[in-house]
Amino acid sequence: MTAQLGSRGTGQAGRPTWWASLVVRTAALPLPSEHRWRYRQEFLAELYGMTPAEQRHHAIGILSRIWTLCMALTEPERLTHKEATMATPWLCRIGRHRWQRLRNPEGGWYRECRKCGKQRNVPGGPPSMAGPSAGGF
Amino acid sequence: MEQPRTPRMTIPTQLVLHALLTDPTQELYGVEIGTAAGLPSGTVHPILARLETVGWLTSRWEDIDPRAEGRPARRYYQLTPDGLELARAALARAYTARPAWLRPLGEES
Repeated sequence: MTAQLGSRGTGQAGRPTWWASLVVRTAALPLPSEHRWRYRQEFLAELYGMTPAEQRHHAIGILSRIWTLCMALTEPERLTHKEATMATPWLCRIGRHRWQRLRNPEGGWYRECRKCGKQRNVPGGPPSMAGPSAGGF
Repeated sequence: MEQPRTPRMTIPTQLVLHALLTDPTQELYGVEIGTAAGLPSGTVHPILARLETVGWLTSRWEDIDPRAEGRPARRYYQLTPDGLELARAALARAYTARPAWLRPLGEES
């Protein structure tokens, strides 16, 4: 993938084609007003030095992912929620934990995931055999 | 609202950080970062925006005379000193957090 983008920005500086310029200008419209001018200028500046084919590819790529940029700029709290989700290893999220057998202070056994810290009773054991967090979660 | 301190460590985010960590003293603009990271157009700017929001990156307009250069100024990105340390640590964590079946043979968890 790198190879096909390798010549970008390294050619002779030339004006972008009118349609690539129009596409990136239009792409910036959904962005918050305080960021719109900056990204419009940034996208336009990046078109300089590209071949028309590279400009088309670049402009369409920007346009197709403008909502992702919009979300990154406008909803940091949503990002925080996603981070919390992503903090759990994906194998744990689909129930594939890496259990290790541990002993609680009372001498009972329990299991704890090495990756996410989830605790469980040893199968078949009495409730008193739960982990140190008094029943775990 | 308190800003989040750690962005999502998706594979594209890791690739962008790798590209920026190759030479942390060098400033790169969006297309250069995308090329170095091997990411398609449009993918890089949302990642850069998130990294800038959490303070890992700083950006500035290129200091040129647009008339002399024949093109507008580009926006250049660079890791902040804090971002440099946090990015290295995050990439190290991301590497060790790989599932066992993705690690090289013989490597213990």
